[in-house]
Amino acid sequence: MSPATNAASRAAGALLGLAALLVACSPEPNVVHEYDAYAGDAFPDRLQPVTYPAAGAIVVTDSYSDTLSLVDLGTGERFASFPVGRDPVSIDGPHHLAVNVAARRLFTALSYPVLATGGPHASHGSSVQAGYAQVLSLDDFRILGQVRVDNNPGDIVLSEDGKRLVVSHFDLVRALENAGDLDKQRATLAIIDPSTLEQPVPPAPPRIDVCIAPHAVALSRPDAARAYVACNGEDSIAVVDLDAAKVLERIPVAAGASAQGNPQYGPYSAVLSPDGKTLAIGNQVSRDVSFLDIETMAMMPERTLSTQGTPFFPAWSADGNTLYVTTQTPNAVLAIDFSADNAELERRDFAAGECDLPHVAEIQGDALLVVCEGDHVAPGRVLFLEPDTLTTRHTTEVGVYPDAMARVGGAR
Amino acid sequence: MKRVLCTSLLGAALLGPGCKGDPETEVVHGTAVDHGKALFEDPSIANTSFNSYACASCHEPQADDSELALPGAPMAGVLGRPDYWGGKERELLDAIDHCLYYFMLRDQPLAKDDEEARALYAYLESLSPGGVDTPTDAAPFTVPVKVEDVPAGDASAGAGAYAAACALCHGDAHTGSGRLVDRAPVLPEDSIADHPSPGYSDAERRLVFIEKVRHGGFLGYTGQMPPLSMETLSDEDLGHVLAYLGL
Repeated sequence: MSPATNAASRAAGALLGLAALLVACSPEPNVVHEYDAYAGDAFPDRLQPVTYPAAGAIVVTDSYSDTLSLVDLGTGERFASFPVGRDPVSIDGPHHLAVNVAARRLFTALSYPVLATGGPHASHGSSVQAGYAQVLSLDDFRILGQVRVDNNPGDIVLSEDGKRLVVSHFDLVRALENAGDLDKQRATLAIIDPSTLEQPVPPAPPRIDVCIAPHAVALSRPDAARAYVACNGEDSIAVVDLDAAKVLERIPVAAGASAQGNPQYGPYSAVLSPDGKTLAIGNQVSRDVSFLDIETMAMMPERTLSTQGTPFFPAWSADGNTLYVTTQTPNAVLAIDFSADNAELERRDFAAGECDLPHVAEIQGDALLVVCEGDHVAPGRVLFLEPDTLTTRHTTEVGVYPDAMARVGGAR
Repeated sequence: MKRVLCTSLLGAALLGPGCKGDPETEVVHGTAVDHGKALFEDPSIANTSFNSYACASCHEPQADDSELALPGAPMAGVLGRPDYWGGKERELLDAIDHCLYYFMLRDQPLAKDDEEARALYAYLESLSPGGVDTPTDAAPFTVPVKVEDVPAGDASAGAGAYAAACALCHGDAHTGSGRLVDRAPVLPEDSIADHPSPGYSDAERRLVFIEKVRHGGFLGYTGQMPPLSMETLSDEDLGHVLAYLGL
């Protein structure tokens, strides 16, 4: 800058400053707004109570459409669906559910699956985002509260007395990223007091390090003092004392099984028999169902059932004599006579599109219900089957990638 | 002459402290609807200096109020809608709180009894003849989870589409002139710089752009950008925008 230019600039600056002072002598008035208060009923409660059918209903988690579907057990039709989750655009991935019908509460785990979005920036167990346990009202499906859990919640189960909610974490990312370090590979169970979930800021639930990629959880009945956990990455069932918050033992699902992140059996599901004495375990790698005697805490190798396909969540009949096993690839459901050395009573292979990727079976009333994942893009299905013949009584569409169901009303 | 002016100004300045310097206070009275409208148009509702967006940045009061293709639905009839955010939210206040949190960086939700919340409701009610008891259709809001390439477009048509859908936040293409906030990327240069060659092919750069437009700060992306639904910007118009930007 030349001296002349500099002097001129200083003069102009002085003029501007003085002008500003002059302006200050004729000040603009301060404007203060005063508004009337709104006198009406702002944001009135518009959610209507759900009218449940006399025959009862099941709720289905639609994990890729962020909805809960309600299916009439009398007509077999879906009669309602409600959004669930926290994020208004991304997929929260409601994964499995538990209900407390007496308390009118539903609990689901938000798993935030990593989805194939098609873009260069980009499944169950591979999330890097913390999950949540969320509670909803069974009366109108409003969301009442939530608490953060760990990444990749896998199963969510409620004790019979409704006082203990247990969430496992099927965290394959943790398992893979910490290969060779068993302690770091192991994921947790979160133990939640359901009564805290509706607090504005629920306390963080205590965790128990349990095993590599724990998935299904079965609670001892009726006390829920123990959890039997399918340890997918360790080929074992972890027996957890929930009161003492410690793992009592890890029982290999087969003799010599001792995987540390490289499973040869891959236990994924675990369903307790009605009398609470036998745990049926679906092993996804070895493609079989094995059984644990709860009284002796010993596997029953003579009862291991080869399933051809990959077993998912099986169902016991009310008398415990029949076990229904869903399998994927091939897509089928098997009826096994557990009272007579696992004789195959019936087998139903599904045609393409009939029940793609059956995930879970349950006896509800006089029907065997099977939740079919579908292709994870189009709606999945719930099939109502005859328990004896496995023929289809009814089919209804639900949301995308359904993966669990629970009964919410009506006489059993 | 200049000196005289300066002297006069200096004299005036010396007199300055003698001015009655305290400005008068003018009280402007308004209704709750006025209050709600003011809040609707004011970024300060977010309670943070980091926010530059108002509700009105993304929502028009009435459909077709302008030629802009805004990401949010018009507010007319909003009280009677059965749900919001494409069916993923059933309660209006929660729907508003999503906007405040994701796009406007407010860290606390509005409570039903907050004066500001009630005033906003009053304004929205004024835009909803018949109020909450007159059902209206849900505003469509389709955000595809999986994105794919869009049809090749026309650059001249893209200029209009860009002006309608992008320019308000991003300013002029290539310069960013007139953008709402400095941190809004200059398009397409900043986006390309973040996805350099040879790490990304030309096709992948198109997909990056498409993914960001469709998903905004969701579905694995971050940032404050709202998703532009299929109803806000069709694949055809998005193809025109890409052609206009030379992608």
